Amino acid sequence: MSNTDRGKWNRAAASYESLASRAAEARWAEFKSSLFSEMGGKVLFLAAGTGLDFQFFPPGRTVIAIDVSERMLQQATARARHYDGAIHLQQMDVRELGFLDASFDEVYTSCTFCSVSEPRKGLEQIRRVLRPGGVLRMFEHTVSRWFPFNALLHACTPLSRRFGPDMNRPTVQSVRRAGFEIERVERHYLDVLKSIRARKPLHCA
Amino acid sequence: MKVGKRPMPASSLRARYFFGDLIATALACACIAAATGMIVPTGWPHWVAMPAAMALGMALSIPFWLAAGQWLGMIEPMIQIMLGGMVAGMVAVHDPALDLASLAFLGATCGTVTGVAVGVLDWMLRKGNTHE
Repeated sequence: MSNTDRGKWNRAAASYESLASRAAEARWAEFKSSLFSEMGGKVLFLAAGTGLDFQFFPPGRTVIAIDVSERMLQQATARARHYDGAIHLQQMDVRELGFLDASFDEVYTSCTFCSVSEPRKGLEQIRRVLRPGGVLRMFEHTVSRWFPFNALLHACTPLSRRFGPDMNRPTVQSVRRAGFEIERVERHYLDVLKSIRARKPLHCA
Repeated sequence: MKVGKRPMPASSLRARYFFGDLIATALACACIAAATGMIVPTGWPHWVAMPAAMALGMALSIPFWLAAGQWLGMIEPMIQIMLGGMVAGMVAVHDPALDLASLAFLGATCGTVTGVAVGVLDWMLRKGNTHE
């Protein structure tokens, strides 16, 4: 497990709620509700953080939720208890998933791959643990394809990555390069945020 | 009986964020234009004056950045503020003889125009949302 990433998110845990739980969550609620609305089967949720996204899960599901930071997971525990279903929390790095091959029907991420320091490795792990034909659904900050917003995101990233995410990740391309079939990309707010639906091919090498 | 708070409809929420972003951008851009107006007449070379004006303007507009972060969401309004700030700075450089109040008004106007332009662009892009 990467101590750098774990340390960064353990430090961020104290202020994460006050920074992320108010307006950003309200602004993104519509997109997140839509992202999680079709959740079903055996589900893995990556980078649960303090559990802010649990409120958008449809009731009655069984979800395994992981995060690299033990401090984040401590805060997520109360939210997991209040969920009308079952959320099992585990401390784990996205890049070193301790699950068997093809053990999940669906994998969800929410503002995760802007922060994973080796996204290719993380996406390859997701591909490994998804069953053939399984679905990957993501809501992510990415670089915008529009100038000058993409230039501003590149300018912000050297600062933002010190305490949190990169703002200029080409996540759709990374997902495609990791061997997924992209089924749908919805672009939100000047293409700075995206909802992505991808599938692990039924017959893959 | 305890009655739960009724959730705000999506259209009202979008309107709230659009106008919130607009106000934050206008105020922040007013600060940036005023800072540019204070620094440009010092006669410093442009390559020193412009970054200094942007830095001072950004520092003065920290309360609006924070307000935008806390009450309006983090990423979206900040991108708008940066873009509006650049426009406001360029306009302020164009006429260094203006007093601070005029510069602040000019900056707020630039911020408002930028905010409306970004809002309209976002609406147009949403309408043409691409599905692969």
